[in-house]
Amino acid sequence: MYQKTLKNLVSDAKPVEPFEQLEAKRLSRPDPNSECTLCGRCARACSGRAIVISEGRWSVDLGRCVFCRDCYDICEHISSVPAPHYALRREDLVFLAGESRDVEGQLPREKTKAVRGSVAIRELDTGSCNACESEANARGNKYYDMERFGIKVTPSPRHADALLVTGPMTRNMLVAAQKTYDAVPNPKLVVACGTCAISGGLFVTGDVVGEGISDTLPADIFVVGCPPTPNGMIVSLIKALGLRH
Amino acid sequence: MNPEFVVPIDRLQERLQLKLIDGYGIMCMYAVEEGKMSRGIRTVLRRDAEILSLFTPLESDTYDMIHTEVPQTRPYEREMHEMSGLNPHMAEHYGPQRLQWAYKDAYPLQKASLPEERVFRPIPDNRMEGDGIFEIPVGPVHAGIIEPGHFRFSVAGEPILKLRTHMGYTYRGIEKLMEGFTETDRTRIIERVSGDTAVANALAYAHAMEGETEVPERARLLRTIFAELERIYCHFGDIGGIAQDTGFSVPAAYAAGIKEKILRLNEIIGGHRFLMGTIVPGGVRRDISDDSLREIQNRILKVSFDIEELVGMMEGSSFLMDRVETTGVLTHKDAVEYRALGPAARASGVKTDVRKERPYDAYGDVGFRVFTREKGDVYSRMLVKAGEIVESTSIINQCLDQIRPGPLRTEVRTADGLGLGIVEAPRGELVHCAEITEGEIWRYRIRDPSFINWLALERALPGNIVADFPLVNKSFNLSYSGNDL
Repeated sequence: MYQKTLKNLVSDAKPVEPFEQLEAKRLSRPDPNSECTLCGRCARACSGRAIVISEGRWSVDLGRCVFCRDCYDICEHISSVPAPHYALRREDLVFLAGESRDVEGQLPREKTKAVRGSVAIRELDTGSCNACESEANARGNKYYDMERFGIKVTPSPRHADALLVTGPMTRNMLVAAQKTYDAVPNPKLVVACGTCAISGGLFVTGDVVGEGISDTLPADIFVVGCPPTPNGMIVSLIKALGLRH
Repeated sequence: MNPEFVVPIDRLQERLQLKLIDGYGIMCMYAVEEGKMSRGIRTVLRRDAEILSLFTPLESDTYDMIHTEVPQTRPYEREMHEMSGLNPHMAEHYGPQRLQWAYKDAYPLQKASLPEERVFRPIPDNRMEGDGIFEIPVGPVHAGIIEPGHFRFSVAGEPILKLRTHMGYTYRGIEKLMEGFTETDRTRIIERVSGDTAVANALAYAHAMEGETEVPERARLLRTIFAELERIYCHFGDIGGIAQDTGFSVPAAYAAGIKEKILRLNEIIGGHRFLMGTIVPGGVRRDISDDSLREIQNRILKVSFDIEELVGMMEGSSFLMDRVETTGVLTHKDAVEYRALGPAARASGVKTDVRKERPYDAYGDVGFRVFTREKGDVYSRMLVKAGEIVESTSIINQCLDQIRPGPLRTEVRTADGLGLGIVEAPRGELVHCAEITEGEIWRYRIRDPSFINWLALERALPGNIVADFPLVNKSFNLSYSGNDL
């Protein structure tokens, strides 16, 4: 029985995907073409209030976008272009019409001192809808296998180099989140994972503290997506921390 | 529409008792604010396809509690006390259900604006006492990658005497966000009530908004396919989690691989790994090409072999069977008394399934079996879930046979009154109640199956050892965010 199964598992033609393949799979973001008349239909249809038209300029904030693609449905002038996996600054996530720039930089050396070849992360849920957790768990399966890049999940914040924070920071989790942050030894990194953690997302008008986790914890990496894909989370950590791949 | 009865508050308890003897179960209970409606308590009961809604007008916020005689209403009364400010003298015995930071002289669902000031409500310290009895607090931040919740075990040595769950860490105030005019599409928010129940939640919301609207046939079939795909990947995740928590990593890795394949299939057919944004009130959002339909068929064919192999692998291991058999037994009596839902109830011999009892979408046109087991332990729950995966593949195949080209959406005209969405989510019966008046959602109540099943878990755990808690918890696989909202 086991032999048969093990054979099945092994003979599955090595499902592990190389880094390039993980990096190539991206979410898409909206981008209007030159025929855009700034009529504002897309901005009104946007549930996350990510698309803003002000002073004659169209912009989309990927920190607020929930990637629902309502804007594509409503306007034929909007096309999809590949979105970045992550950014190191919150303002880098705002894209103007027709703009394309590489925001996937590497953190300065003094921030990543604790990280040499591998990183131990501790997941912290501050009120997410469990889609982010599901995707974070999926990083360990045979397709993504994050441990081959030296990314490891640790049960204790004491052993962690980085906190991976999901959710919009609910009032009830505030104290627990701060205690968990304090328990991580210095130097520490905070990864804001997903739209809720970056900006509060759809729940920013609900019973949450501030806009995303940035008001409470100092976020260093912003991973986009609602939820971020498993490969997005892995690629963000590898590129931002300069891990070997 | 469903019959509605007005029951005065002093008769409510008696009426509920009689209805429960008649075989009805309390599906949902919530308070309605004054203003466009009169203040009162809405109780929705169900017996198979029969829905009964009771309205109890309230003169004052204080009344004699019902749950002392009708235990099913306990979580609802706690919720009404906390969210709608009923029964201000309600015993602080239970502690906060969601709201650890309460408002001073105000409650979250009131229509008047809320004060800034918040009062912290600590978890009451009503631990068990005695020689050698200790209390182990766990959470809200857990060791694994899961959602936050706080548990307190009272233990005498290894065996657990009592478990108390304290939730509310993911409370985001969704029910308040749902209020407002019916034209606004709130599917985006409702899909994020609980990420891995996105389809079921969107479906329940759509049903609540649609009322009597007739949805086109192709849309009904596609909805059914989406809902069943969600059930399949959820159940694979649970079964893999059971293997993981016993330390048997080969089937765990196997199940994770299959789950990933289904998620990728979801991405191909719906554009989202959790199928968010596929269902809208009135139909489905976009069509599925014939190629994708064939892709589903191929993938689903493999799934029924995969589950057979996975369960065979797990059953073939004596140490895994030692862990799962007779662990975390939810007795039939408890399951009936607390009205446990979904696979947890079916594993305890309660034959309840909304898909069968009150068919929605295409479930009336397909044949399938409701799996039940008698013992109510972790193993039974695992088998029920495995059986449901097989039935789900059969349902999808039947839908694929019936599917014909046709329209995908109709115009939805939301009628005033009580909009109900009752759906069998992977975790059990999911209920959305919308009180709609003058084209406005006055009160929106989401009752996730986890809201009830957390109590069932509290009942199932005593007598087991602490190390078995993750296993029992995983076999129930309850949603924290769906419970907290």
